[in-house]
Amino acid sequence: MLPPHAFARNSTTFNRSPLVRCPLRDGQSLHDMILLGMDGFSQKYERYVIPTYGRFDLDLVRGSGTHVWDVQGRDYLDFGGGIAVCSLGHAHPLVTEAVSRQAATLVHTSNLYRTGPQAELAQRLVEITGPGKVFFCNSGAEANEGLIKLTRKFGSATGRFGMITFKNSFHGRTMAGISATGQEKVKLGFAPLLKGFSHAELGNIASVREAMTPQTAAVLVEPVQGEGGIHIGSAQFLRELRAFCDENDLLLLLMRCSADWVGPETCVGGSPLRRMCNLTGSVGPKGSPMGFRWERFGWRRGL
Amino acid sequence: MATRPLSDGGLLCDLLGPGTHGTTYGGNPVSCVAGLAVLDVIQAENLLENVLTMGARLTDALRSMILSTGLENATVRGLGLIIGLELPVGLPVGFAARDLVLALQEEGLLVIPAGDRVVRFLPPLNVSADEIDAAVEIVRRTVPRVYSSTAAAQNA
Repeated sequence: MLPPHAFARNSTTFNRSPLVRCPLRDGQSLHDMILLGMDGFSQKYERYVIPTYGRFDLDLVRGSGTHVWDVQGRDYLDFGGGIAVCSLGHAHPLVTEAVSRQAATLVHTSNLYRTGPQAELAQRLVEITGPGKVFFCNSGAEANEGLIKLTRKFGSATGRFGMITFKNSFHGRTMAGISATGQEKVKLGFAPLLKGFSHAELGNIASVREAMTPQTAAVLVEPVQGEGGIHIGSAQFLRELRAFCDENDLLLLLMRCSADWVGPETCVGGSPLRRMCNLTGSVGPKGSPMGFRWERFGWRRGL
Repeated sequence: MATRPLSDGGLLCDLLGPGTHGTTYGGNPVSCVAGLAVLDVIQAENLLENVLTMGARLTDALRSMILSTGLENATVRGLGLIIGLELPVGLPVGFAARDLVLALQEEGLLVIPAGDRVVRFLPPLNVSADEIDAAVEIVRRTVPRVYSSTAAAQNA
């Protein structure tokens, strides 16, 4: 077999595009590259992976910063970011180093025990977000699920369980998540859904009032609707929601995605949302593929 | 900060107590050190500043692209580096968001569709001005080609 450097010199086999070729990674064998380059992964996906996604016909093997490369060595600018997850792009050296070191130290313990990294990250997130605590999970869907359970628990004291969400919203693919989501396409074929969800219009506080019932216990809103097509709730609307929730003893729950996690102020373009809105919950993966949910100490303005 | 907000005197963030909720992998040490490293970099490099600057650069460039490529009825909206290009209603067949995303992918730019008419741009927070410009250049040369070919096919 040829050594890797031979392939690196004579790489026209994989140079089917005029774009930049994927540099041969240290330790990657010619054999690996040929296996990848022969047919990509499509046959195995078709045969072995449950087809829930309408995937693009693209097999990715490597990323660096804003760039990713496919099996044929084509270079792409990645403006998808793993759906707004990769805050620092791909393979940031400091993240790689931290993950590598931890992987060689302690990978997984379950939550039956305490570990230092979780304690440290919880403190950092609370310091950034506001007084409260966090729950770590695996996805935005799971974080949404947690907020829906929180709503049920919160409402159980007063016999309430309902939640107002918004048209075009997206709250994940779990049963509670699709029940909360304001798009019919995610619900088809999965009835019966969870009870108690009604959908208002983002930006229209009158529609929120109309969606209110005696059972309503919370309002769940994405300040920026992503999956629904990038619709932005104004700072004024979020303040109106805050006031509406205070008046009616409702939790105000915000689902936020990775690009706005750094502080509540940033999620409405610099408006003082934290002080005005007193977030009671927020979710989001935060730059690495994981999720968390943050809950404030109190649940009304000033608490 | 009041600390007795619930009717029974407890904290909201303690409402889901022991045994009420759980997850096996959540908060595992590897994911948490990754999160800490991401926070370190975002704060040390003041990336929120970059988000605002680069978000404005991308939004402005997409808006001028719209004007120069005959897509006047398209709109661009976003916040920071979450940006959507909404294609106009009454599109030619073959010019839905997914078609444009596929064409851009062929040209070396990955973006994500949202529904039939919105293309999402979600670059990393540390994206550079050169990368923004390169992405917009790909959009600028791809949109008119896809639009004119699909419009011609529809009229034929």
